[in-house]
Amino acid sequence: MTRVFRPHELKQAVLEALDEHGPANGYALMQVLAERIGPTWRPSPGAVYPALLALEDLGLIGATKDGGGRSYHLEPPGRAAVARDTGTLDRVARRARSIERRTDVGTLLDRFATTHPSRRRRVDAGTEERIDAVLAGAAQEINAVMAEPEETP
Amino acid sequence: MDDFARAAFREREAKKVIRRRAFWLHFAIWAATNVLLVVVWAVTGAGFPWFLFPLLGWGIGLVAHGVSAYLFADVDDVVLEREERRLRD
Repeated sequence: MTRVFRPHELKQAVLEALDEHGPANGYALMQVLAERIGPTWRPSPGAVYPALLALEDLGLIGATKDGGGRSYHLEPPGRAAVARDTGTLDRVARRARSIERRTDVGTLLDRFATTHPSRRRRVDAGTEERIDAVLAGAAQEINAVMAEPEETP
Repeated sequence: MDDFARAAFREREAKKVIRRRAFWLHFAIWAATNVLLVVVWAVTGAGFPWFLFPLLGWGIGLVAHGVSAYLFADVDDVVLEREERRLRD
């Protein structure tokens, strides 16, 4: 799978997300990133948390205790870093959309054929005709779907 | 330590376990294949020890896999390990 984030982009994206959202805990930040980037990127604390620690180490963000968790906020150097380089989140989101997963229609049809619970049952001529008619209807509906332009977010 | 940090540690730990299991699977396949080759060599007259070539050649790859599974860590792993030590102390 193609990587959505290039080196250092996650940290910059976290700064931008903090700038947009205001102070936030880890989960809220991950949510902001996931919403902006879309389904191609699987949010994971294992990636975001080290980025937060590194940013804290660098003095770009600060953390305060907030109930059971930690809330992160931008420090002045972090704010300056966002001002210097905005647009990382947009860039990453654009890239994520361009590598969006695409599937063959044949794969979907195979999946249907190989997983349908009745696939091993035997039917008489009458039932065969009825099932053929159902499938012909499905084929027409699929053609109609394929004729529509795809949504481009 | 908050939930988010705990989730991060758990995720890293799981990845490490998977990486190490993958290495042992690789090792098992390497060992089984080479035992078979040694047997073939033995029953065909035990002449020139040609089985050493695949054994050592593939062995280089196996050692590299072991090194990456057990000795190498990426930056995130190092950052997390340091934080874990700090939280424990």
